[in-house]
This record gives sequence, structure tokens and C-alpha cells, in this order.
Amino acid sequence: MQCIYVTCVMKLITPKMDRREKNMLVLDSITKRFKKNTALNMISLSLPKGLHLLTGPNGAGKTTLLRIIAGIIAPTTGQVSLNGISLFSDSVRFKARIGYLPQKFGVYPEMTAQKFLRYFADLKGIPASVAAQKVEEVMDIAKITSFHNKTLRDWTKGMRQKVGIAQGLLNDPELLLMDEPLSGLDPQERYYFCNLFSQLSSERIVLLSTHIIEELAALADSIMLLDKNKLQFKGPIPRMMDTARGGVWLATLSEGEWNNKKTELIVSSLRDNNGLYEVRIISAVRPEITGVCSVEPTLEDTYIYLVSKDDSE
Amino acid sequence: MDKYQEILGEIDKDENDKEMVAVLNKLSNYTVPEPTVAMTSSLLNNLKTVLRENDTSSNEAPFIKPIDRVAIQKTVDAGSLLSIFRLVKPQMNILTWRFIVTTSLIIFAGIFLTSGDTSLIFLTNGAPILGLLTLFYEHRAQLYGTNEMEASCPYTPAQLAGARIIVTLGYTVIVCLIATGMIALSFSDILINEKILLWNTILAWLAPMVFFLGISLAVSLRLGIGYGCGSAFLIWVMQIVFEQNDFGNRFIQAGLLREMPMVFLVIGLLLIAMHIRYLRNEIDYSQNG
Amino acid sequence: MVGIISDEELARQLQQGNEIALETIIARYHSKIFSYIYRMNKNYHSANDVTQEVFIKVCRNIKGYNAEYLFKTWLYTIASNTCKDYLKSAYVQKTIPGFAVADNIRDYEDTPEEFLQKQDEREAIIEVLNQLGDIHREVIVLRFYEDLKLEEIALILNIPVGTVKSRLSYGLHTLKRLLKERGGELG
Repeated sequence: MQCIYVTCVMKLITPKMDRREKNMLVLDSITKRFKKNTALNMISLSLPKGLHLLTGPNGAGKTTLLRIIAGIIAPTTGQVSLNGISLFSDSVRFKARIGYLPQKFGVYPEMTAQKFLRYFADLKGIPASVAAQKVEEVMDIAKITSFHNKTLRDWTKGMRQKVGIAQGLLNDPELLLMDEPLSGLDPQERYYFCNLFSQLSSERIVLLSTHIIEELAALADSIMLLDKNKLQFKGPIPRMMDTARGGVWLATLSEGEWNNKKTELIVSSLRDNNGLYEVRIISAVRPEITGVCSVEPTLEDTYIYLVSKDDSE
Repeated sequence: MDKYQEILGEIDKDENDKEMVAVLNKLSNYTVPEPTVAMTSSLLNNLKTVLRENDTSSNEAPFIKPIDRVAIQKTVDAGSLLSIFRLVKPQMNILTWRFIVTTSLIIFAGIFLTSGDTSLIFLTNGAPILGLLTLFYEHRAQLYGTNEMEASCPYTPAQLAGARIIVTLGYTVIVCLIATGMIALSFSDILINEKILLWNTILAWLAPMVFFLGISLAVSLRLGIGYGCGSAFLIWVMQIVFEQNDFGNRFIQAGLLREMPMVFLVIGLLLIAMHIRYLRNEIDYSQNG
Repeated sequence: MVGIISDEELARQLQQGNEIALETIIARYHSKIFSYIYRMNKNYHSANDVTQEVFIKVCRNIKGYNAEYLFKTWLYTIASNTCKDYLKSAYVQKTIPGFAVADNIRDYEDTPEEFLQKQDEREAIIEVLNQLGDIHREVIVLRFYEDLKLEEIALILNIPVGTVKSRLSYGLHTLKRLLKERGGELG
């Protein structure tokens, strides 16, 4: 009994410490209205440690959502908190825990990568005594230690992207937000960084937006599909694919048949087989085509299924 | 030898230049011993160990050393003035040496090439331009698109703006003080006579500079730093034009700036304060993301 | 040319930890890097140490090597920087040791007189090379002994090609002058 009492008292009087096991990003009813349109409508989610993908059609609001979480723009309504720290009432503590990579970003062209990262280390409040070491550390992780004497003006897009990723890691963030982080990288680099993000996600929340789900599908813990201002899906990828089961069909059409039907069908892929078209059709009901059969959905099928769902409703 | 020809060509010498060919011949006498077989195999063994170390470490999660967040929070603490001063150092790095040398040389050259009253006029008219240029250069992040990354950092926009204004004012004031010193040296009565004259000289450029910086910052609240500096520049041009022009003078008492500098200094400071106070925590992204 | 594997391909294999690729790279570059460092450091034993350090750095950082850039350039950049660090930190002797290994380079077809003359000439050129500033000597070593192109040297030293040319020219002209002062006629 005494042990329980002591433990309770200790929990009460110990200041709230950030315990890694409690990593959680919580969004509560985030809505964002611009003058001309509504970008986000009542988005709520809670993300634990792990690798989470944010996907959706262009203009769906992915970048806006990431900007809101990063504290760059304010939502019209709603709350954001990380490990119990609110973005709005405690922005310094919140931002001290995040790293953010925008979709498009510029650099000071006359700076070397080292200077640039040192500048951001200072901007993130990293004490001078550890800043230099931090810069070296992230340059090593992002694989940009060679050519660090070259000014950023002379760096290729892909190399600059790596500098951006390095910048996001400077303060050992508990939440890593990245908007299309793999763009501009060659296949070898994409492979390396996909693995890097996966490894990093064992210790923190990694949320990244991407168009190309396939690359990260095997490594992701969950996926969120943002379309028409709402979260159409959030959860593990296999569960997402379950939703499309029974909605994907395979048919073989002649050129004439295809020309007749193509305007009324939603298609995820089309393959030309010597004049015959092999078509994967997305439809909630069985399409009226002879010889059509139901098939297991692929990731791409699922995406199109979910994105085109609301159009027909 | 082909190689000799190439080298001679690279240093713009004729291939028949006997002396140079002799130099190259002498160079080729500098033979060096090869590494021994033992050295090479010892090297290989060491390197293989390194390679194997590489492999094991790459399977682990990259180790990012944990960071002291309490220290970060203390550094950035939005309430303290010290936090802004800590921010000033990285913001100073945004002013490149090239910028500093170019702008200060222009000012000093202008003072050098003019004399007496003309120098003063040059300085009082040049100070606002120097201020606007520096302000714009300090805010290059808006131009390059670096501002989004900067906005995700813990310092508030107000702290960042404050630090940049300090750097801008600091730099321009130092340059103009040196220029004032240059004028004063050629005008020794300013020093010998009343100190008030020196203060008046300083005020003569300080007031318009702060005033135009204030306008620029106030406008930039709504329209960004480019339009801010641009509009301040336009007003500066109009002020000069109207001052020269009797007709214009009837419209706007453009000479007021010269006659009541303290008023404009205070207005400028108020505009700057307003800028910091009303700086929105938000860059305007009205397009869809 | 069939069957000659490129440096960049070897480097990629090295990134995967391929030890055969390592052996091929060492076979291609050990001697070159060694001779480069020897001429920059003027000391046989330290040349061995520094060469080892260079290759260790290469192996440690190979995953950071980007195949967009020539492997050779990357390798020499590491070698050049490592040399500079070494020259800055160690007490570098201004006299020229290392003659104990002159035997290694003796051409046994020489008569004793020829051997001694070659020794003398070698000493002479080493001496004047050392009288050159580091930045000029480096360009000469990279161009003349390592047979690198001007553009490659520019990348390695992180200077414009024009500067490489002017340092090469200045270096060679200075050598000419120093040799003349030392021993009379040339050509």
C-alpha cells in the first residue's frame, strides 16, 4: 500500500516530462477556410510513433495541413497538440520539438551547406556549444558531407533536397513533418531515404506527404487519404485496401468497345495487348461488360477507388 | 612528348620553348618510391575492417544525439530581450561581405567626392536608401522562399523581425556615423564648436532613415517586404522631387522633414513598433496546398 | 575496352561493402595517392600514414559519395584536404628526409656516375619545388605527376579553372627562375 501511495505522490509532484513512450500528435477538428475556398474541413486524427503517409490528389490540402501542424499558418478552428503541448498556447515548446521540410524551399545561395545548417541550428535555438556537432551529425545522416565547401548556388535540386532533410533533423525532433521529401532524388537516394525515415520513425512521429505511395507502402505504419477537404481514410494500408475489395474489375475490350465505354468508366490502368485493351475498372457495382471479373485491388486501384467514390455519390 | 605540349599550351608557351621543356624534364627526375607489397596488403586489411564496421552500423537506426530541449526553450524564450540578441548573430550572417563592402564603399565614395554641404545632403538623402537596401537584403528569405522553413522554428516572427531590424539599424547607423565622422573631419568647426551641431547632423540623416524604414515595414505587414521597400522608395523619390519643385512644395511641405526631424524620427519608431506588434503569425498562403 | 569497369561502378559496389571492388580500387589508386602525398609531404613514413588515413576516410564516407561526380575527383579532394590537415598539424620538417629510400628507385642499369648525377638532379628539383608555395606546388604535382586535367584540379581544389592555370604558370616560371639561379643554364 505504501508503495502505491509513494508512486502516486511521485507522479503528482514530478514535473511533466516528455516521455518518448507518450509520443502522440493530436489534431482536433482542424478547419481552414481561405477567402475563396475551404481547404480543410474538420480534420481530426491522432498519430503515435511511427511512419505515417499523407496522400491525396493535388490541391487536396496536404500542404495546408502540414503547414498548420508546423505552426506556419493558423487554422480557422481546431487544436493541434504534441505530447500534450498545445501549438497555440505554447508554440515555443511545440516548435522546439518539430522538424519541417516544405515542399518548395529556397536557400541563401552564397552560403555553404554547413553555414546554412548552422544558421538554422541557431534559428532553432540550439545552444552554440552543440550546434557545430549537430550540423556535422545531420550532414552525415543525410549523406552530404562531401562537397560541403561548395556554395548552395552550385548544388543540384536533389542535393538541396538533402540539405532540407538535414535541416529538419537538427533538433532531434519528436515530430518530423515532410512535404514530398523524395522529390528531386534519384532512385538510389530515394531508397536510402525511405529506409532512413523508417528507421527514424522507431523513435519519433514521422508524417510525410507523398504522391508515390508504393515506395513507402511496405514501411508505413498508417496512411491518410485527404480528398475534398476531408480525411477519406486513415489507418493501416492493408485496411485501406480492404475498402476497395469488391470494387475492382478486370475486363478485356476490343478497340471499338473501349471507345464506346471509355467516357463512362473509371479506370485505374489500361494495357494494350495487340489491339485488345486490358482494363482495370473501378466500380462499386459490376460493370455491364461481358467477361468482366472481380480482382484483388492493388494500391493504385484502392487510391482511385477512394478518390472517385464521392464523385458518384 | 604530348604531355609536355599540352602543359606548355596551358601556360601559353610555345612547344619549342627550350627552357620550359628543360624545366619539365627536370621535374620528371623527381621519381618517388612505390609503396611496397607489404604496405598495400596491410592497407587492404585495415580497410576491410572499416568496410565491415560500416555494414553493421548501417543496419541500426541513425543515432541522433538527444538534445537539451530545456536549453532550447531558455534560449528562445519569447519574453526576454536576450533571446532577440541571440538571434541577431545569425541574422548578421545574412548580410554578406560583398553587400557590406559595396554599400559602405558607395556611401564613403559619395562623401569623398562631395564636400561640405553637398556631403551632408548626400548623406541625409543616401541614409534612407542605405536603410531600405539593407532592410530588403536582410529579408531575402521572402525572395528565395526560405521564409517557410524559418517560420517553423521556435522563434516568433516578432523576434525574428526585431532581430532583423536591429541588424539593419545597427549596420546603417554605423556606416552613417563613420560617414558623419568623415564629414566632421573636413569640417573641423563642427567638432570644435557646439556638440549640438554634431547631434543635428546625425539627426538629419537618422530621422529620415528611421522614418522610411518605418513606412517600409508598415506597408510590408500587408504586402510583403518587396512592396514595402518599393513604396518607401517611391515616397522618398517624391519627397526629393517635391522639395526641388516650388509647385510641389505648395502641395506638400516636403521641407518639413528637414525642419522637424524629431517628429519624423518618432513617427518612424512608432511605425516600426507597430510592425512588430501586428506581425501576423502567418504567411499568406491563400492557394490550395 | 570491354571488361574495364569504371571507377564509379566500383564505388557503387564499394558502397554495398564489396571487397573485390575495394581491392580493385586500391590496385588502381594506392600508388598514385601515395606518390601524390609523398610529393606534398616530402616524407616517406608520413606519406604512408597519411595515405592510409585517406583511404580509411574514403571507406568510412563511401555511402556519402554521389556517383554524379567523378570518383577520381572525390578521391583526390579527400587526399588534398587530408594532406592540408596533416601539414597544418604536424611539425613539418623543412629539410628533406627520405633519402634513405633512394635505393628503391635506383635504376640498376645506371653506372655509379649516372646514379649520382640522377641523385643530384633529383635533389635539385625537390629543393626548388619545396621553395615554391604550397598552393603552386600542389597544382604542379596534380598536373604534372598525377596527370589530372585542369578542370579536375579546379574541382578538387575548389577554385576556378583560370586560377589553376595561373598558379600552374606562375609555379613553372618560378621553377625555371630558381633552377637557373641554382645551376646556370637550362635547355
